[in-house]
Amino acid sequence: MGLCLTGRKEDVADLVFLTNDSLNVEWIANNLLNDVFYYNEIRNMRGCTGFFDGTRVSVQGLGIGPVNAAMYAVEITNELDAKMLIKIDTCRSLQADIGLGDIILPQTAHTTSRINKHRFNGQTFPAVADFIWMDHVYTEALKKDKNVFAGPVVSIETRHELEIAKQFAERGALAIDMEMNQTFTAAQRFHIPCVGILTVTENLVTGEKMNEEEAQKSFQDIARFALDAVTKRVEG
Amino acid sequence: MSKFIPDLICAEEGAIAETVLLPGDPLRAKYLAETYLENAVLYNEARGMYGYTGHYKGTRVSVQGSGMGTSCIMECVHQLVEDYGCKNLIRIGTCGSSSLDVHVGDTLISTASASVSNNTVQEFGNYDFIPTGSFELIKLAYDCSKELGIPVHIGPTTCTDALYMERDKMPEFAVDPMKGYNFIGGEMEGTGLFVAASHYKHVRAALLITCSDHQVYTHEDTPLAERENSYNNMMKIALEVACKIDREGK
Repeated sequence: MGLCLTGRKEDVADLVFLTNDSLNVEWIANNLLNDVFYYNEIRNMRGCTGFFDGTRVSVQGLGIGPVNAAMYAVEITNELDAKMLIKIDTCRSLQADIGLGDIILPQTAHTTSRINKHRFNGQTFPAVADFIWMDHVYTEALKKDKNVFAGPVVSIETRHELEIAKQFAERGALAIDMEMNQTFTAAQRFHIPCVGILTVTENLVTGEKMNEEEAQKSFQDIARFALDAVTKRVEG
Repeated sequence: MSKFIPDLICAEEGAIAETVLLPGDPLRAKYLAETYLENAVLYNEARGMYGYTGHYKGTRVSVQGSGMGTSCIMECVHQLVEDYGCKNLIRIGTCGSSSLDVHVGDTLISTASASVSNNTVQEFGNYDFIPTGSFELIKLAYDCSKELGIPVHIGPTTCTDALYMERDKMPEFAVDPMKGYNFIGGEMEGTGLFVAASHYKHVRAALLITCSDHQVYTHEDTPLAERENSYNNMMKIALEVACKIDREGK
């Protein structure tokens, strides 16, 4: 047992979906999964295992930011034996042509955090998605006629870094999130595949923004899409 | 901006195609032009860095020697884009590998490149800017590899700046702080290519590599003389990507 998660290895599925809001875990459990049980009892951070269309999956809350992601993503993999991580969340677009409700698949995750600089003796660590999985999800998104973009995102650490994020946008970053960089890093550390499947709820260039209800609906759509796309390949 | 570095490329306007393949070695550019391109025209001889433009299956494509190291390929990219209007840059290089899944002669596609010295991303200071390949081009290369029946490894690669480092004088952690993490290979131009291309929204870059030597499977090393012409799988994928780009009209 680690500092963040209770439960045994057999309580957690091979496929672990991660989201930063603990209550979104509960929404997925109540609306998309069958035979759910909750394995985590610490800090009110939901973590549950159930079945989506017959495939066993876990959904784990991460909390906000690189520091949280660095703890939960490592623990769920190192101590509870996750075999693949899928980060599903909302994000903020940094490009005018990536609109509300569009899907972003992060290929790499830049970061303003110094966690990895510290970890890797000052070098820049290439936090990357698993390409074959990305390609699969990208293809599924196109099949469902969704607007999908793949490329770098930037994982910021505090709200004051929006201006800095623009520097990354000028050099190709598609969107802002807060946990992708450390989630990729954890997956690479333990040699398991990881993909991010994000949906845009705000455009920082045009100023368009979903209200809370629309953003929640957007998360629910991306959760449904992600569970379907990933479990389809596993079952296939 | 005044020219800080003398031109690497001296060609007529319009002499270079929008899609350019970039081997480090100019002699490999010559080999590719002579082996695969129809009506290939040598447009550059400055610094011995041969550049050719010709046609492959009807698609106009160029192949330009980029030299070694990040400075060299970055200067090459900036000139190709700013002076000659090039849009799709596909490095066809060689690398070493220590991944047990990779063997000498295998074809690799890099999704991102880790620079050992951060030399190409100094303006980001303590932030991590990750030099990233174009998803669109990587996907085209992956699709082409499947159509050609050529197996490929796809993942992050490392980019070394000092080949002859005095490793015995360095603490172990400094020699390889990413030890234990998986990289499909290591070469010396990847971050330069991706970072230079990231300055231009309309430019896409991809990094295809052939494993030429292996740190674990040392008996598989390719003799120097054979390297020039033993990379046909990678070249075929890159040329097919050029054709697909031509068809998509970008």
